[in-house]
Amino acid sequence: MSDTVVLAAAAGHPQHADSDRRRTGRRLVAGAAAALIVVMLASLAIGPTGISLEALPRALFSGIGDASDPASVRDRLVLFDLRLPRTLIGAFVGAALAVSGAMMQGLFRNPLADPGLVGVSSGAALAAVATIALGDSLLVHWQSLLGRYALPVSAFAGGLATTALLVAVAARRGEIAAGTLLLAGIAFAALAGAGSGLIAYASNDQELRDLTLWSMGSLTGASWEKVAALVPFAAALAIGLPAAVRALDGLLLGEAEAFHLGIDVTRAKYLIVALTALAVGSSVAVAGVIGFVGIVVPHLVRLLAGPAHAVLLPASALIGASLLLLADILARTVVAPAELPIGILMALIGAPVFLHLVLRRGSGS
Amino acid sequence: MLRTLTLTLSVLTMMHVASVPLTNLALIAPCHATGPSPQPSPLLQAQRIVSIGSDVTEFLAALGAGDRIVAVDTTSRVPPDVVRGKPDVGYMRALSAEGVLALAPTHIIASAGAGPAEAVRALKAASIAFVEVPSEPTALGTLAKIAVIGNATGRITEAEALARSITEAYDRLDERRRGIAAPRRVLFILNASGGRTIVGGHGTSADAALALAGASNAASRLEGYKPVTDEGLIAMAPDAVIVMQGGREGAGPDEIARAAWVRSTPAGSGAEPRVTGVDGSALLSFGPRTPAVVGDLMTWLYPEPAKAGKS
Amino acid sequence: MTPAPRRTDTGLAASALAVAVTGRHLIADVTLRVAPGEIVVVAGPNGAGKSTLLRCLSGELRPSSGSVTLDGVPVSSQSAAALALRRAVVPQASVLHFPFTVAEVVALAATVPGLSTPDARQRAAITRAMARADVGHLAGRLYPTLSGGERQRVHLARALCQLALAPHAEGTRALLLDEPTASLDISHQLMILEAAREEARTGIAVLAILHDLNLAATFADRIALMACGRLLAIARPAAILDDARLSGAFACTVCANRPPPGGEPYVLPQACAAGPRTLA
Repeated sequence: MSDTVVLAAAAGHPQHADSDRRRTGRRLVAGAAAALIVVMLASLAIGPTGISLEALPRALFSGIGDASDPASVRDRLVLFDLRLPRTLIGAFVGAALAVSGAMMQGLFRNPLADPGLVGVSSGAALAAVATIALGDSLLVHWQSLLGRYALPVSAFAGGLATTALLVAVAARRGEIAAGTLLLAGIAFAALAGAGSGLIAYASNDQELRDLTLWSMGSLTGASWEKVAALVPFAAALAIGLPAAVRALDGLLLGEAEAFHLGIDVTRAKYLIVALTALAVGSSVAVAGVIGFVGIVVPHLVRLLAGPAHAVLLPASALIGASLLLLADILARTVVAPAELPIGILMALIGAPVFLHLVLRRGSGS
Repeated sequence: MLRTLTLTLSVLTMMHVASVPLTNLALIAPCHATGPSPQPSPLLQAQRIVSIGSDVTEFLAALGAGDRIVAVDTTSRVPPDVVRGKPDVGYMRALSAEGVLALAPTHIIASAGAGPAEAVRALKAASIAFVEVPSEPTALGTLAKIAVIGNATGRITEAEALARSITEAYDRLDERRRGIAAPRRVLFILNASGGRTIVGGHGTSADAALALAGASNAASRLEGYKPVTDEGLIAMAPDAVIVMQGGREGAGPDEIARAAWVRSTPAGSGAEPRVTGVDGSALLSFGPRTPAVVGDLMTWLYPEPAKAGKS
Repeated sequence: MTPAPRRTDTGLAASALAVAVTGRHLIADVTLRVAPGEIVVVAGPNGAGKSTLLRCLSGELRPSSGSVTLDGVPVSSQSAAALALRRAVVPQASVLHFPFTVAEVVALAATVPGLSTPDARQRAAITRAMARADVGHLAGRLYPTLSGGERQRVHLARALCQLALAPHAEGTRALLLDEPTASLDISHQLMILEAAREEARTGIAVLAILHDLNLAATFADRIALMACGRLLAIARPAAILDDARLSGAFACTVCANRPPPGGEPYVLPQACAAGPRTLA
């Protein structure tokens, strides 16, 4: 008799638990999408000039009517040429960094993996810095061949190389211990730092200063040209990410288990590495090195809705976009008319979360 | 009419400086002497200027347009009574376009190094006069700055006067330099902290300033500002060492004078090491104070020449 | 219960299998076949190559020579996805740093592409598999908080779910279990092996690695005895559990079917009865 009771309870319970989380996940994604829309509007509406969205209609029609009215020309410039591209780029960078963090954590089965901390961003930045510094000398053909894509493509290549190296480090066991991962990250960051230093040594004073700013991360240089350069990367990620969902879920169990579940592990790893490099490379190319988004956001989403990637990836993307835009609103208003480098703000938010994760793991194992 | 006149002035200024001895700049004076000194128009009075670059700010102040400045960049610290209380638009290479626009300027007068390119492009697109000031570290470059800034602010008479006095100052430096028989080897230290000594090599404004002061740059084999080891510093064998002050935190001249490597160079061979500090922004900006600072430097380097100083 | 005679190439078969790593053979010359509906238990001392054999049979490890076939088709020529429709694996309890719930881990089995898709059927299969592995009451628990034994049962549920949803018409299905009873109490040991026997009854070829020779004797149709990477013998339990053979394979003194000389009691589990549980 007791067996039937147990069975009956068991029959009802799993669907319950399962659908509970699924419902939470759906709600989270919907809520995050709504929040992102609000934050994007806020990002468009807030800025040191105090031009608000009320100016939008006037700015919209200024092109048709009296283009000579300097006020509406200014509104148009601020809304469409400064804030809008910056908002779009900020949203992309936040989403890309959060998603790349989630992917790396799944790939390495380690919740501490973050493109900024394990050196992938540094690798991408090194390649980008090399392109900037050597763009009119050694790499002139590369520059003229790819034009506006030279920078993101270089950063992608740099990120790809670093991620591939990490995978090679992990290859023996399919899983990197937190210590190994962070040590490898330190090594890669140091290596990339040395490379950047070498380039800085060889470059003139002005470039040198740009390189320093590069490592702090900023959306200051947002422009429509950069938005255009990001479009193919965003498209590739939008197409590639859904294909990685099942593989990432399976890889969380382990490589053997993933294979037993019908996942082609080698192909899945290539896909995930390529997607990570795409996301990190393109965001580093437009905004420099911004850390911690990839750690903070997926961690938060897992707390709320579990680690299933069908929810984790979209929710991380949406929340990462919102988080970065909020940080950017702060960055450009707090010390106005100047700006804070957004990388510093993100480190202020992210470092405590990271420390918390490390300490919790330390006491757990 | 005013505009054409100013344009003529700036072109004339540059042409004269380029082709004839600097003292002959006075030739352009008659152009203006014909009429009364033009008063700044009401439009120019209402100028709201964002000044980007320490040299730009100094020249604006020197031309009497300091009260029109509504904001400056981080590097602008002089003159204190002009920059005090003015909003800071940040480092000149990392400007925020909207932050600058928020100050509702009528003019942005920026040194040629201002950036990033996207922000500068956006500011130029706004219906605001964006004036780019050349930043060549020479006497001629200094005059070009004056011409451009005077032109932008309508301070023609003042610009002309300032150009003349700067020219004369540089001419005096020229003359003193001719009296130097054996140029000393001088090392310029941009920053020394934590065992890292950054010196000014070839192609830097420090190199240009040293040349003006009649010194040969001991670090001329380096390109740009570069960190050098103590052994490398000894190998450069400077006769004297100049330490920049007023910039980032770092060792001052007294500390450098006590450094071990100095003892192994000609600069440290005497009882008193030949090490001095210099106001970096005054020396390197090639602004209004530069000739005077270079003159002081020359006096320190060559204390006993008979031809020194004004007679 | 004895399988009816079948075509000789049906089932999961290894022929002249060898795996060498840096010149050393982990297994060599292993030939065996698990027929549909049959339970083969692999036994042997540590380092005998049992897990290596299982990894080859699952398709996870490519042998250095020899081949593994499922119904005569080489496993190596099939994609991971195609294999996942035909065989499921219960691994030794694995570590998971991420807070999946038990239900989510089991539900991963239903995501194999090509499995029968109606949602209701998947849910039913998930629920039934969890009940059979006695993890239904843990459905909402987070996997990292489970004990080792509970984790093993979760993986069993996942494997059972995968097989239940696999298309039956395509040919032999296989279930591979790597020391499924290692961290379980007696009752759950029997429960897992009875679940395996039920699977065998539906025509699934079952191969399990077991250390407990009594359990092997109770549940196996045939026992494959391995030592030093070689297959010593494969036969009915009665033929394998021979003093001399076991003592040789395990390099220790083993007495089958006799009480220990000191007269201490020994326990021999027989079947998973409901008796003890009614006490609780």
